[in-house]
Formats: sequence, C-alpha cells, structure tokens
Amino acid sequence: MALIPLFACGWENGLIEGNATDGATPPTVSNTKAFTGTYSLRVQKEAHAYGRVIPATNELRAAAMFNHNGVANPFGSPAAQAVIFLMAAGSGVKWKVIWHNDENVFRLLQNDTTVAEIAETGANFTTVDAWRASSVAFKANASTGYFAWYVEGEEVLSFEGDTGSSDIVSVLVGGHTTANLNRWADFLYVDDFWAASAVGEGAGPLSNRRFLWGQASGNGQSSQWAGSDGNTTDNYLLVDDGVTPDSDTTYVKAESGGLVDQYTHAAITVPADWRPVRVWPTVIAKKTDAGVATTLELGLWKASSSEDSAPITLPTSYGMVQAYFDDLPDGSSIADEGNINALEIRVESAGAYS
Amino acid sequence: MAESRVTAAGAYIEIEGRQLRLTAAGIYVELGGPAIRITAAGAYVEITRTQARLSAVGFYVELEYVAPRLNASVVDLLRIEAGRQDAFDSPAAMVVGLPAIGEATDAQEEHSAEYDAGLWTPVTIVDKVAEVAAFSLAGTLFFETLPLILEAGYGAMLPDGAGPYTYSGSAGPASPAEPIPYTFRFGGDSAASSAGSMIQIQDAYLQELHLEGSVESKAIRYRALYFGRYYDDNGALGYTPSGVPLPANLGLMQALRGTLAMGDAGDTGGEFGGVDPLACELIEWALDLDTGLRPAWAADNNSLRYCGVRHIEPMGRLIASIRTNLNTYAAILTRAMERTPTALEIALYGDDSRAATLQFTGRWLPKLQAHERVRGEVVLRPTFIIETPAAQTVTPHWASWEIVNRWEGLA
Repeated sequence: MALIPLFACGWENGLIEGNATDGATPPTVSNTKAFTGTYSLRVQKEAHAYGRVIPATNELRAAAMFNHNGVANPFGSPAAQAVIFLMAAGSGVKWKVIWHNDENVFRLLQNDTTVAEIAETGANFTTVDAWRASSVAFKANASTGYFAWYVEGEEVLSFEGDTGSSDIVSVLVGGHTTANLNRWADFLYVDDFWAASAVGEGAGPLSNRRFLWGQASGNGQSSQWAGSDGNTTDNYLLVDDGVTPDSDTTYVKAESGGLVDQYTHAAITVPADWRPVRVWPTVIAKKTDAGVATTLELGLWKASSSEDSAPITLPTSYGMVQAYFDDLPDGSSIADEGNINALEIRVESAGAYS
Repeated sequence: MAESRVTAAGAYIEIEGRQLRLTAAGIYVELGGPAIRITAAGAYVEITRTQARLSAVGFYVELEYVAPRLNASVVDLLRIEAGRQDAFDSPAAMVVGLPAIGEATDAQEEHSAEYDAGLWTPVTIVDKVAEVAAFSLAGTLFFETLPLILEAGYGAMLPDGAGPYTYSGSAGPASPAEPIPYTFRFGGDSAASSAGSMIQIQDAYLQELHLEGSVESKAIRYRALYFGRYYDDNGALGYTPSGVPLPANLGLMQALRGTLAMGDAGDTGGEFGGVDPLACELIEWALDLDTGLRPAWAADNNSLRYCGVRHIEPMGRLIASIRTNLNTYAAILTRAMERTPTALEIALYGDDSRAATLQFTGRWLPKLQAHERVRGEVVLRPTFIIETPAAQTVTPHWASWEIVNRWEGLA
C-alpha cells in the first residue's frame, strides 16, 4: 500500500497540536484518560471538530483511538449529530462520519446529506468508556470515489460513486455539526490521531498506531542556537516545556541558517505487542517574520550519523512542526527500543533570514 | 541585535528589510517603504533580526501492533469467507462462508541485487518487487457452490427463477465474458480469541478447476486454484471472522447420480439433443479446466500489484475410465481414431430438482488405453480435449453449463 504519512498526534507535549477547526470552540488537552502516554484530546459537548490542515490530497486515510461517554440528548432542532471524523475539501464540502443520537444511527454525510447509514447496533462503537480504534478512507472522484468508515479494522459504512473532484485539505475529529447544541456527552477523548495520503489504492482501513512521546531532556552533540537566557549552554532547559509549553518565556533562536542543536530525550518504553516503525521529530516552533522564508530542518542523530528532513516552512505563531523517518541514521533497527533511546533529536536552521 | 540612538528630533533612520522597534511605545514597524521619523529626542530604535524560535522539542515514536504470538492454548480457527465484488480493486464485504478446505499463500516476489562486496559472507540488497497472492479451495462439491466458483473464471452467472434457481454460463470462441472478482478471507493460526485471525485476498480470479467423480469415492470432489491481488493482513492486525453463514440448502453432488452422453458435433454448435447415452459403463472421470485467466502486469501502472486480468487461450480436458465392451469400444475408439468432432455431456442430479449439466465440444484423442485394468475391471481410459472443430461455423461451441440449485447466490 502506498501510504504517505501526513502527521502524528498524541497531544503528549501539551499543545492542542491542531491548526484546523470547524468552529470557534476548541477542545482541550487532558490527562484524565489516554490510550498512549499521559494526555489525550478532550472534547467537551460544546466543542467543535478539531484537527490539522494537510497538503491537499485526493485519497486520504485517517485513524485515531476514541473513548466516549455516549452522546447527549438534543434540546432543540435540528437533532444533535456528534462528529467522529470530518474531512474538509478544498471546495468547502465537508465529509463527516457522525453519530446521530436522536435517530440511533451512524451516518456518512456530504455536508448535511446522508450518503450511507447503519443502525447503532451495527457498529462496534457504542460502548462507553472503552477505547475503540477507528479510521476513515476517502477518495475524491466524480465516478470512482469512495468514503468508508471502519471500527477495529472492520468496515462499518461505505459509499462508492461521486465524491466530487475536490481534494481534502484538512482532517478533524470530535465536535458536532450544528452550533449551540449538545453533542458528545462530556467527554469524548481522542488519542493517537494520524493520517496518510494514499496513492492508487482502493478503500481500506488505516492501521491504528500508538505514539510515544520523548521529550528533550539533555544536551546533545551540538548547541549552536542562542538561548533566550543569552547563551548556548544547556539549551535543553529552554525547550523541555513538557505538558505546559511556555511560548516565548523560554526558547532557543537562530538568526541565520546552518545552526544545529541536538538534544537527548527522555527514554521511551515500548509496550508489549507493539513495535516502533517510525520516528517523528516534533517541535513547537515559529518564525518571527511572516515575509521571510525562514525554514527548519528536523532530523535524527545516532552514532555519528545523522539524517535531516527537507526544509519545512515555519508558522508565524507557535505550532507543531514535524518530520518523520522510517529508519535510523546509522542503519540500526528502528524496531529496537535501545536504538530509539540512543537517538538525539536534531534541528537545523535553514532558509532565509534578514 | 544592534541599537541606534536618535538624538535629534526629526532625524531619519532607514534600514531596508529589517524591523524597527520603538521601545517606548512597543510597536513594530517594517521598513522598506516610507522612512520612519523619530520625533522625540532620546527615543531608542531596536533592530531585531528575523528568527526561528523553538519553544519545545521532542519526538513521537510511532508503534504498530504486533499480532499476538501462538501460545499453549491455541485454537486453530480454519474458516473461509467470501464476498462478490462489484468491480476490480473494490474489495467486497464478506457475505457467505464456504464449505471447503483452503490454503492461501503470500506469493509476493523479491529481488536481491548482486554485487561484489569484497566480503566472504553473503551481502545482499533486497527489496519487494511484486505483490500477489494465490490460494486453493478444495473439498466436496455442492450444486450451490459451483456457480460461485465458475463465475470467478468465466463471467457472471445470475440466478433465473424463484427456486429452484438456474445458473447458466459458457466459454466459447467469441470474446470472453468478464470474470467476476471475489474477495476471500482465510482464517489461520490464532490465539484463543478469534480477533485478527484472518487474512484477506481481494480481486481473486479462478485460474484452474479440477473436478472428479468416481464410483469409489462417491462424492464429486474439486480443487480450484485462484490468484488474488495481494495478501492483506490488515496492517498486521488481521481481520476478524465475520461469521457469515454457509449457502442455504446445500445439495451434495454425487458421482453415482450422473450420466455421460456423446454424439457427433455437426456444423452447428451447441446441439446436444441427439447425444447417445452410455449406460452402466462410466467408472470415474476427471475434468481439468484452465480458464486462461492470468494477472495483467503492467510497467506503466506505478504499482507492485497487477492492474487487471488478461485472457490467454483456455484449455480443458476430460479423462474417463469406461468399461470396455463392444458399445464403448466402438463408440469411443472409433471416434478417437477418426478424430470425430464430438459433443460430450456430463449430467449430475440431486434432490429437490437440483441438476448440473456440463457440455463440451471436442474429440477423443487417438492414443488411448483400451484394455487397462482398474480395480479388477478392463477399461478404456480415453482423454477428451475440448476444442471447437473448424467446420462448426454456426454458433460454434466450446463449453457450456447449467446448474439448477436451491441458493439464490450472492448477486
């Protein structure tokens, strides 16, 4: 299967990690429940769907772990519709998987038009306070398009036919379809959210994955960025914000390209029956001038070998920036926990500065 | 960072492409356009370079689920499920369980790049270069499952009638019908829980079918060989058995409830009305069919998987053991030696109006054993090959079949 990963999101660094929303009220990050690590996205009943902007893609798959307390009764019309997944096309059309708590069905919607539905009892999704793996598959095509929803790897709902020709530009989870009405009963929790674009494949579930977080916790082999404390010593103390990112209170900065900082990290422990397959260097970063093409390269270092991503354009306010690697720079096995723990996270300034 | 102090009211500072900060007011001004005039003496202008800033650093380690290993309390869950696809590259939901024994194989191909490494022990650079799967179904044949098997090789067979249901199909000189792709799931070794115990193979087509009937084994048995697009383990999670039922009202196909008949194949094909029945003479038979379907590989498809199916020449033959007597010696040996175009019909009957009629046009091959001993009987062992005589110019015939059963099928 030709899948190109787009993002990995476990909310473990305390930021909401999203940059796409379906309304004004975002969910929050909580340590009440988590499928992996300590934190998950907590969707209160008033919250709107939340997620990430992605590069426009014709075929998309997304997966996450869900844990809910059911859906709340509506107190007005139209009836409440709790959103599980929402994919927004560039045309403005929204493709949604919803739980219609008034009519006791799950539905696939094109905006507000039902394209497929199944009775609640037909989906393995209604049990409260239980983690469920769920995913969606979508292909935009006027004749051979598809839109399918899966729970625990099994197809629950599918639609084949005209799904338009507009690429998907963002993928979101949770929330509701109409403002000011209750949807998810407090609370829906979402963890281990990721997405991938698919190339030339039919509909199918995206394997659910877990994302362990390794926070920067020590100095690495290089320290060339300037700290907000006025020196380049112990830079890791300025970027180990943990679950409470402190924005511009402490940070490191680069004012020219080619500067490299490396950090060691807190050890990870791989749970039984799971194995590492990919590493995602992840930073909360920004550039200070919207008009200058300042970029960042993210990478890994191990045993004198390093590998870096292509330059990534930085946002102008702090947001999650990621790259991923399917292998380790020294050729050792990525499936080995010891090899992962021997990695250093590598950041290199790039692009333009003025 | 640098600082410039303006000491006189009305002085100008022009710096292109930089930001100026008036520290007293705390506002930013980007230069490059109009000049900035500082009107109060003693104000500071702070010039800040563009920065990349990191507030937090870490990484996510992505984990995939590794299926549970076998342990002492293993239960082997062997099960086959199938669904009929609407189109190629569109896997179907499971609709029916199959009364068969199945073996599925991941037939992916890899390539090892050879090179001179200057080392004693082997060194390879290896990668996967093709994905494909193969599997077989075998067991006892039922009137209800035969159409499901045949349409994956020879084209759609839709039921006619309200019960019993009649399924008709054929293969002939005209353009082949589009075969129906199926999605299959096979259970395998599993822990006590059945979750994740199955693998899926989509876009499966019938390549070969072997049927045999014998007075010894009584039941008609079969072995069907398929190829499928790839061995799908659901990203190492496996698929959970859906528990769909077997076809309703299964009727066993039995060798002792069959007939074999033959006659001349004339200039008009498909005329089996005048075939002459044999009686109490057929001991066993084995029918081998090659549908001619093969994976359509392409170098312009940007995929390790085949992009469709292609047709090569189909083949078929029947090997029979028939008691040698005056009737069969004359009927078969004479036909074989004279290479007489022959219409051959095998009919099988079951309860509740069930029936299967298999009709072939071809000829008996002349090199045959006329006095072979099989289980104490002297028999002919002729081979009948399926082929259309060139003289048969009106509705030329190769093979056709009609199955009457008690299951409405998947269509």
